[in-house]
Amino acid sequence: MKVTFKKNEQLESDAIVLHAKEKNKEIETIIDYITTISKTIIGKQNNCNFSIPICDYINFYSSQKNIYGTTLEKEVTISYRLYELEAILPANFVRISNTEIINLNFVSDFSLTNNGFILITFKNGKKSSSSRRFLKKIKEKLL
Amino acid sequence: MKIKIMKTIFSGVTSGIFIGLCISMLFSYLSKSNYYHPAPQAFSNQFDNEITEMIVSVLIWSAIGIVFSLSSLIFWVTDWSVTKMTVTHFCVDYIGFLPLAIYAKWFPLNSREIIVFSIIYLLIYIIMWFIFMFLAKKEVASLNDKIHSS
Repeated sequence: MKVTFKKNEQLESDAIVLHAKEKNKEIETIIDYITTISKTIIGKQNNCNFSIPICDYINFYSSQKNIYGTTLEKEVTISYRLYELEAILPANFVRISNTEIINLNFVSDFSLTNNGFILITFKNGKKSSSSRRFLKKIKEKLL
Repeated sequence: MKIKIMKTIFSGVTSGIFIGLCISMLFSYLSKSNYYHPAPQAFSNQFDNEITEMIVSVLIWSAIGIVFSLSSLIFWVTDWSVTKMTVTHFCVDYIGFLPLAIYAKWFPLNSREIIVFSIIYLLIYIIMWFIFMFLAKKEVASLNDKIHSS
């Protein structure tokens, strides 16, 4: 793909315009990428608020009625409930259990344990587990 | 969650009665007695009134439907492993179904019958466990293919 950058002072400060011959899968991926990196979710750590791009989150999970988000650098508290996050997160995030949503871009491997848990290994070595009934949903997201 | 449980109970009652009715009609037909019996003769003999016999049978069918439909929630709402789900489902259905089946005189209350029933029941669950694990393994492999190819 040949990319040309043209400056346009008339555009709003948070706007980008893409021109291409037709809208195909590549273009859609680019649009998804731009939307994801520009969206942020506020995370709290030691009473400090951080505005973190959505694509930096590895997972969101609930523990004792609190919602936490993990990135490569830190773990923060999130003020949304999991079902609210499900509604606003882009397609690369998927629910893997009653208590966790993960970012598929950070998954390195899936495996099945001997007693039938789905073990998910992330690129940073962390692990999460899921149950059989979520496999179909994960598969749909990976298509 | 409460609504889901109520809906599950309701669908358990309706499907329980429907299946009970179909099976009892089939067995009545096969017995060639020209009469409909909701349950085996040994059960009917406990009642001097056919209406009571029918009402109690419908209650038993409903109860079995409720046991099976509620236990199916184990597979749909928990995050458990295949083994924990299968074992819990086995226990809940066995404890819930066996007393009702014995009460309805579906099989005589002697140890031989109960042992044969239990072995068949256990075998079905062992086969189910293998099928669940096989399917999960296949799904996991296809997930890995997808994630490594992209």
